[in-house]
Amino acid sequence: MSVEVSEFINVRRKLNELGAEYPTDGIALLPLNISTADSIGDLKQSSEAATIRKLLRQADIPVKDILSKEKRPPYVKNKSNDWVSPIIFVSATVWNNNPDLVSVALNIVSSYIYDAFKGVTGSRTAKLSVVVEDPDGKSTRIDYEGPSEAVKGLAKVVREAKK
Amino acid sequence: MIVTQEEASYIEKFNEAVTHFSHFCFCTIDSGLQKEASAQIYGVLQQLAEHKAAAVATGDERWANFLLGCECRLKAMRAEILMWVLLKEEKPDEAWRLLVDAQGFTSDAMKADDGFQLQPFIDHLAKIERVVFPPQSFMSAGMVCDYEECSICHGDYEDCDHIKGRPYMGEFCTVKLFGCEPDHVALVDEPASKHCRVHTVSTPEGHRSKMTRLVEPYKAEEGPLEDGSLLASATILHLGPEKA
Repeated sequence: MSVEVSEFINVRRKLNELGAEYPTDGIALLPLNISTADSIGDLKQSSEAATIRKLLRQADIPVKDILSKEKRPPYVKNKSNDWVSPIIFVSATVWNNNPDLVSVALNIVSSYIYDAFKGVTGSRTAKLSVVVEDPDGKSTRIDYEGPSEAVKGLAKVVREAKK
Repeated sequence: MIVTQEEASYIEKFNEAVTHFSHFCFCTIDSGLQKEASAQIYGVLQQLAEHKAAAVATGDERWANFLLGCECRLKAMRAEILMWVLLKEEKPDEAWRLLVDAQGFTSDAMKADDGFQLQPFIDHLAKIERVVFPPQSFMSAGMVCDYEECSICHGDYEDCDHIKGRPYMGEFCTVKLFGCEPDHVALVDEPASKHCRVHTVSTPEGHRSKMTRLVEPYKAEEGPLEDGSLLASATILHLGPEKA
């Protein structure tokens, strides 16, 4: 299991440059290559993005789309046994108003992965990234790689990283 | 799960059938008897399909999903029985395919209903994989796809409420992929599908099977690559419904 905490790009600025919408009052799922894409056409999203978006919405967690349906990025399908989450972005407003939302969201994701891994032979690794924005626009990125059961505990790491 | 008396009776009969068919899941059992057992399972599966259709017709999703689990459990047993038959017929590549099918169906049964506690059976199949078959080299293909269609409502998967890998009225939600472009192929230790594997590798004499080690001589126009590169034949993509 590994957890890495690093500085991330200014998400608001990047979304503005790309012509995408900044999610002020909700969680957003960012494309996997958001930091390196030069245009909306370059963006690629995790194949699990649609599922995670639906799971969160079904749990009444506000999830904002950064792009309209017509501009939706294609999905990356890697046929390996690893489960790769989209980048879960939490804006500064959401973090300040309701930091527990991340914990709830990660619980939902963890339960889904647990079900998805049921009865699978061999080891399956979950790869998940959370990006939390500071009020000054800087962002902290937490990358997790390991068993599904430990995803729930990632909320604590996020809180620690934001202290 | 709270069950009615009728359902409890059905579950009891199903468990008896599973116990009966489990006697055929061994290498030493007569192949003729194993083929008979396989045919019997096929008959039971047809009856199950009728029961499931009745549950769907009355809108009983819980029972329909349970019957889906029963189907998957029996399909797994049938695949394992036929795997042994094929091994005895010296058809290890086909036998491997059925082993992987058995693993997949067992996993599906567990996802269909929490009542299917089949981890021991998963472990049993994993042992067969390790002990009966030589180590395999697995492949993983990466793709970029434009659109996902939901198998339950046939709409845009992004817009509907169904979750892939979950059962709905006796069917799993899967997604059909459209507008796919290949991105990469990789050798991996843990593939999404163990159907995706290297079948043969080149030797100076010909193509050697990863399963039997038999070497099939090169044809007239073939031969080992001059630069010394290894030539392999492999399945890189298994075309089945996309679940979790």
